[in-house]
This record gives sequence, C-alpha cells and structure tokens, in this order.
Amino acid sequence: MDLLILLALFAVACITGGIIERSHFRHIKKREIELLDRPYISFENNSVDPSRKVAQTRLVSGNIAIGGDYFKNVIAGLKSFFGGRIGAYEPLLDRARREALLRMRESAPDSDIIINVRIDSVNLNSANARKAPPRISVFAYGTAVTYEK
Amino acid sequence: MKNDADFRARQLELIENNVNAGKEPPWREALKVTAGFAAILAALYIIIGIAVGIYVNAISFKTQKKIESLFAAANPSAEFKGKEYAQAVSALREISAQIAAQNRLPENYAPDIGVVYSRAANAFLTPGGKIYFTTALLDNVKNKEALAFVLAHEIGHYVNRDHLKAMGRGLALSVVKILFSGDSSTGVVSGGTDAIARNSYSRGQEREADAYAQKVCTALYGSADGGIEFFEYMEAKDKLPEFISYLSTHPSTRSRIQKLRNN
Repeated sequence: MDLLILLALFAVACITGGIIERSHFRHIKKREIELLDRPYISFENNSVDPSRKVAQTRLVSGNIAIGGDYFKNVIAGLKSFFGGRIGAYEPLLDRARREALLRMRESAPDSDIIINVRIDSVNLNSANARKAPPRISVFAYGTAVTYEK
Repeated sequence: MKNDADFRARQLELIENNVNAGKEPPWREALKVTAGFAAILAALYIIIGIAVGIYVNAISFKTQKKIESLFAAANPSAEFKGKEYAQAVSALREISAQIAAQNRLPENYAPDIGVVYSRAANAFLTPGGKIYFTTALLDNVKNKEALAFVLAHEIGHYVNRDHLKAMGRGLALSVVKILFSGDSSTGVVSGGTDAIARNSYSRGQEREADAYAQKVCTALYGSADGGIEFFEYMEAKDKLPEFISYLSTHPSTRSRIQKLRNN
C-alpha cells in the first residue's frame, strides 16, 4: 500500500514536473529570441564601444528561486549512489540560470549593452534537509551601459 | 555593437538545441537507475542467502545452540499457556525423546514442544529451535503416529538447520529492504523471525524433512503410515486444486503421499 502511494506520487510528480519544465523552456526560448540583438557579456568595461560616449551605467539584476519536483529528487537520490551525471537536475539548473539572465536583461530594456555579467547561486535547503527536494536561488547581475544618443 | 549574421545564427541554434541539459527523458533515467538498484539488491540478497547457507552448514552444534539461545525469547505471541493440551504435549515430548534416542539428533538433544493457538492445522519450528503445534492440529489429528510424523518432519528441519537458514534469508531480506527504503525502524532481527512465522522453507527442504520423518517413523513404528494419514487429513481439509501447490513452497500433499507410498 505504501509502495502504491509512493508510485502514484512518483508518477504525478513526473507528469506535472515534465509539463511545467517544457512550458518554462518554451517561455525562455521565446524571450531569448526576442532579446537576441541585445548583447550582454561577462567582459569588463573595455568592451564598451570607445567611439561612443556613455550616458549612463547602472547595476541590473535578475533573480529566481526554483525547486525540483519529488520525482527528480528520488532519481537524483538513487543516482548519487552510482555517481555520474544527474540528468534530472541539469534542465532544472539550466532553466534557473537562463531565467535569471533573462530577468536581468529584461530589467534594462533601454540599455545598449550589459557588461561584467556574473551569476551566483544559493542553496535554499538547509544542510541537514537530506530528503528535501532541491531548491536553489540563482542571481544574475551586471552593469547596464547606455550610450548617448 | 551589432551581432553579425553568423553569430546570430549560432545563438539561435544554441537556444533551440540546448547543450546544458541532457536530452534523455527523466523517466528513462529513472527506469535505468531503478533497474540497476534492483539488480544490485537481488544479487546482495542471493549472496547473503548463499553465505548464510554455507555458514549454517559449517557451524558446530554448540554454535547452533548459541544462535538459537539468542532467539529463545522470541516465542510466538499466540502461545497457548493453558493445561488442556498438557497430555498431548507430554506425549509429543516422549516421541521427541525417542527420536533423539535413535541417535538421529546431535548430542541426543530433543527439541522442546509448545502449543500455539491457531485455526489453521500446522506445526512449525522457531529460530530458537522450539517446535510448536497449533491447537487446530492437536484438535483434529489424534493419531499418535500421524503426530509423530509431523514432529519428525519438524525435527528434520531442525537437524538440517533449515530454521537458521530461513532466518538468515529473512535477515538478508530485511537488510535489502533497509538499504532500499533507507528506513531502519523495522529492525534487522524482526525480519529473521518474520521469515520463520511464514514457514518459508524451499520445496527441496520440505522434501528432505519428509524423507527424514519417513526414516524416523519407519524405525519407530515399522512404517510411515502416520504420515500418509496426516497428509490425507490435510488433503481432505483444504481441497485446494493440485495446480495451486506450484505457487506454494510446500510440495503438493498428493505428491508427498505418493513419495511415502513409493519408498
């Protein structure tokens, strides 16, 4: 009986987690294509176009807190016994980073370039929460540069 | 600073074909991992089972008694404490002593007899080495030779150390369960006694215990007719179709009667 409940939870989490993940990826792709012509780089200020005069610089940031589902957590738990690539977590982390970067870029709609982009992540689980699903926060920040018109 | 056309195309390609997340669907990864785990746990169970079998066959009788004494307190919870069956028990103890006197038991040790309340006619051996008869068995089977056959069958399990082997397999199973679930609250030892409560001997072990009982009864009474009578009672009682016996651990009653008649 316990096993049946477990399997049911497992299946539900697998299906809903999959739906949420696919729709998030679609959303990310759409916005990334929209922003394709707006550069953001991790170089410092020497990448600013020297022929133009800088009107304004400011710090822009994007932040996301994201959680994995129960299904991913179970697979990752089992997988960590054998070691190796944890395929279940890769899309999760990828979504988090891209979403944070998109939010950062979207928060500077009028800038010409974002330089010195950095990414930080924080594990939201306490160290002893062994069985908790993964919860991370990804924070992307950079300097938005606007040239004089 | 505008992106050139090549760069733009590459960026689009990267957005479409993400290299940072694997392409493998998560359910396939789950299947692989579970299959790997199941294989390891099954191998572990088999290896522990074989190791226990080798160990149990190799130990001395003194060590066997020592192991049994660890489980002496783990008697069935439904143990019958009343005096109603005192006569039957003392008769069985007498037979047990007679079997021991045939030099068929190590150090002529006669296993102790107990009664347990149950509506199913049955007898079983505990990890502590005590043989229990159920009230239903003692109520329905009065023939001394039939009861002697049942007793000799259980003593056969005792001599072959089947109770310790079954307990070892039970221990292996609970170790595997704990590894799989990560939950140790059920405990390792209870797994061993569980296996005994289920009387989980293999068909081969049952056949050997039957052969042992046949030898003992033939030596005591000149024939193993008591066994035939007992099996005929069991057959009349449960009336299960023959094919179901393939699903159970015991050989089918009819095949056991056949075996007794043939020898």
